[in-house]
Amino acid sequence: MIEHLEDINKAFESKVRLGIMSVLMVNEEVDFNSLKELLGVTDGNLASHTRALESLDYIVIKKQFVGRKPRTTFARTGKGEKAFRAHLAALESFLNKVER
Amino acid sequence: MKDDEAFEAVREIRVMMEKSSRFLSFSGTSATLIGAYALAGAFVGHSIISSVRYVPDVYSVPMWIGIVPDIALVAAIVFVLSLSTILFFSFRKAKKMNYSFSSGPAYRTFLNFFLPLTVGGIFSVALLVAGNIGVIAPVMLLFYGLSLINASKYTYGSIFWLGCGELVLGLICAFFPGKGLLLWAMGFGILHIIYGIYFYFCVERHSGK
Repeated sequence: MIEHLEDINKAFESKVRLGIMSVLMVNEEVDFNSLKELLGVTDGNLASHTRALESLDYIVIKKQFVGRKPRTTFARTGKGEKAFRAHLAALESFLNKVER
Repeated sequence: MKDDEAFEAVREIRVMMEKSSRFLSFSGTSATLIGAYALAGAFVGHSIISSVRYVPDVYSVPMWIGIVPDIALVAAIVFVLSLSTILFFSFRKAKKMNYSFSSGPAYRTFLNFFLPLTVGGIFSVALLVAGNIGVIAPVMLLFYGLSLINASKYTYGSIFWLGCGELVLGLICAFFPGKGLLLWAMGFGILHIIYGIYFYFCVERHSGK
């Protein structure tokens, strides 16, 4: 059994962060409520995870006002996309080794 | 990292990507029901059309004008019934599977489906007004097929093949003007029923947990 793999990204160990990145890989932009509903998490939980991903420059958080209501949307960055792809590749090679 | 953790991560990624990018609240039962409505509609339409011979030609208007309101009424009933059936079953499935019906993919699916379909509908009305009734059946089949192909990118991929089937029938229909109603019944009736049965047994049964 391989104990550690260099490319397995620590930032994606949390299921919520992995979910956020997965959704943002296939959607250009997702708003706060849709993301919350998709992942089935609380407001606070989503906010803290998106903040963590933002501080890594993996996603950008946009805040706008629609009328008087604030609307928060998320999008992936180039860096985030690269990191996610590397993470996927690492998972893939890990699983290939396990199967053999 | 353990291997079951990695499996779990990959599964999570796949589920999230699917759930957030495709509209998956479609039900095979609704396709079969729509096919049945269309067949019933085609049957009623056929009897209206064949009754035309016995109408005495008292008005100096082309024969078909007398039956246009009846045919349009039947078509409208079939359309409204089909739309409410698909919405009802989709809402129910979305609720059961805990998907959001008002999500991005649902919106994109409906927009991409109804945009070409509405254009086709208005075009058909224009053809009717101009008296080109012979080409209405192929136009409906072709626009419907293109709408399905357009929407298939945001929902189940197999809808693409249903759309292709409609296109083939639409093109055949265009070359055989007298067979409009028959091909219409095949495209909107039989094809939907076949697709609904396929969908129920091959897609819903497999993913139904």
